[in-house]
Amino acid sequence: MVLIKHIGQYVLETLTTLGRLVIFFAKAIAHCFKPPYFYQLILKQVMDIGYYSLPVVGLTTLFSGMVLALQSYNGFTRFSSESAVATVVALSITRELGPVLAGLMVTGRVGSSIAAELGSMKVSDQIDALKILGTNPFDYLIAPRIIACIICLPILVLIGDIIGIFGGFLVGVYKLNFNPSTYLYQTVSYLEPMDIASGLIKASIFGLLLGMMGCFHGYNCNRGAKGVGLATTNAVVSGCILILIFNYLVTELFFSS
Amino acid sequence: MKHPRIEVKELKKSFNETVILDQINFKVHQGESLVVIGASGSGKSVLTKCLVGLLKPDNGDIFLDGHQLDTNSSDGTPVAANSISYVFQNSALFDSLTVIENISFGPRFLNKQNEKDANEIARESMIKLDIHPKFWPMHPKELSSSLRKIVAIARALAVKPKIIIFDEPSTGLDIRASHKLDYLIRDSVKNENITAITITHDMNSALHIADSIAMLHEGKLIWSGEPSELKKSNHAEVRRFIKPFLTST
Repeated sequence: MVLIKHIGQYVLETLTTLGRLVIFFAKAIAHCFKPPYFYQLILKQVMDIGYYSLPVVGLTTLFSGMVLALQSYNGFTRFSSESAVATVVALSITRELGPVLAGLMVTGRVGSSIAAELGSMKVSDQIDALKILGTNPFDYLIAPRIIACIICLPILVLIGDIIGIFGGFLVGVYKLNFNPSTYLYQTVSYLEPMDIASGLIKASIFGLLLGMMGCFHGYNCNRGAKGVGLATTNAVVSGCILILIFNYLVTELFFSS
Repeated sequence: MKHPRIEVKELKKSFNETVILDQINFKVHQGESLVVIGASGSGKSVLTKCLVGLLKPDNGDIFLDGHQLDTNSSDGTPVAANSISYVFQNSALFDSLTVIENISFGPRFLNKQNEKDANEIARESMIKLDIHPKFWPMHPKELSSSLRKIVAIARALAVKPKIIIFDEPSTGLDIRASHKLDYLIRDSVKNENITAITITHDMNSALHIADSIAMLHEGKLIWSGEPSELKKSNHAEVRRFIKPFLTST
């Protein structure tokens, strides 16, 4: 009997959270398209989310491209297919590693900071103060962050793609002794616009997800330092899991045929 | 007949099964200062949050100048935001904005003034409250707690409200700062002819600020009257509440 009660309670709590998330998602999206727009705040968030995430994303994709070149070279020598290294690096980075790694790294850096910032605003009554001063928090706090995430992630991924491919190039040319022009030719010749576009579309979706999770958990955080800490953790964990799930779904959508 | 500035009728609010406010009735006139006293958990903060529109009452009506307030806001902001200002217990200043930006926020976004006019109103408000210009470009975290409270009052007054609600204004302040704040509240209310509702459990503050006092106990309004009548009250809960104050004076 106690077990059934606990299961029922868990199911109810999960459904309640899911329902709140759906309502929050719908409200947030509606406010992204509805004036007033706080352009200065959007610009500030673009700087915070995009510009300051560049080093993290750049380093992650650079070393991933380097490792990928080394690993694929070691594997492909078994089949005498070393020439495919450049193509594999380019495709892997643009289609998968670029968007997923950038998404996960930005979730760790930005999703957590959004949740912590909104959470501490909630705890210190600043969100209520906004309402009393006639400003809807969804216009002033949520929409600028989500819009900035959707704008910044594709730009970060595009830059990350270039840096990642460059990392592969460095290892290919200076460590594995590939001819630089052959490596570049192999990189470009098999890369199709759809490979890059799919990565950028994924990045926009990941931006939406990580922004939404940061805002949702921060906005609904419980009182006290523990509540803010929990909101931050939940924002990162749920953001990362959703990014991995949606990565599969979008890949299935683009490349299943 | 002139309507009271704010009138509350049969207000009721519960959370889950727990009744927090039960059948609350009172009225406050223009320029009058009502102080609501009561022990922690008596429902004082919930009452003011219902008045300002941050919480939706389960039952009852709130009238502003005789007009019933619609407690269902369509866009998530309180419907009475233009008329009722609120000074939070912890000041709730925006961390990311400077003092002047905090104070000009209301005139700019609530009263729809342009940036220049809003800054001018903020300057006037800061001068009135003796906030030294050296503090204007500072962020709230750089200010003392008493100065943060004064800035919060300036922010609330800058929107030219009809009613201002102070939630525990003297909490966390030393006696001197607390007295200064009491004078500031009293003067601001009288000079601007604003109606004030103050929540406190500091009896010294209450007697200094109040034109009338109401006491909440377990969600019910158990006593109301003039400050001079409070000490004469025979109500057991009132006597229990003011006893520490009577013995200390």
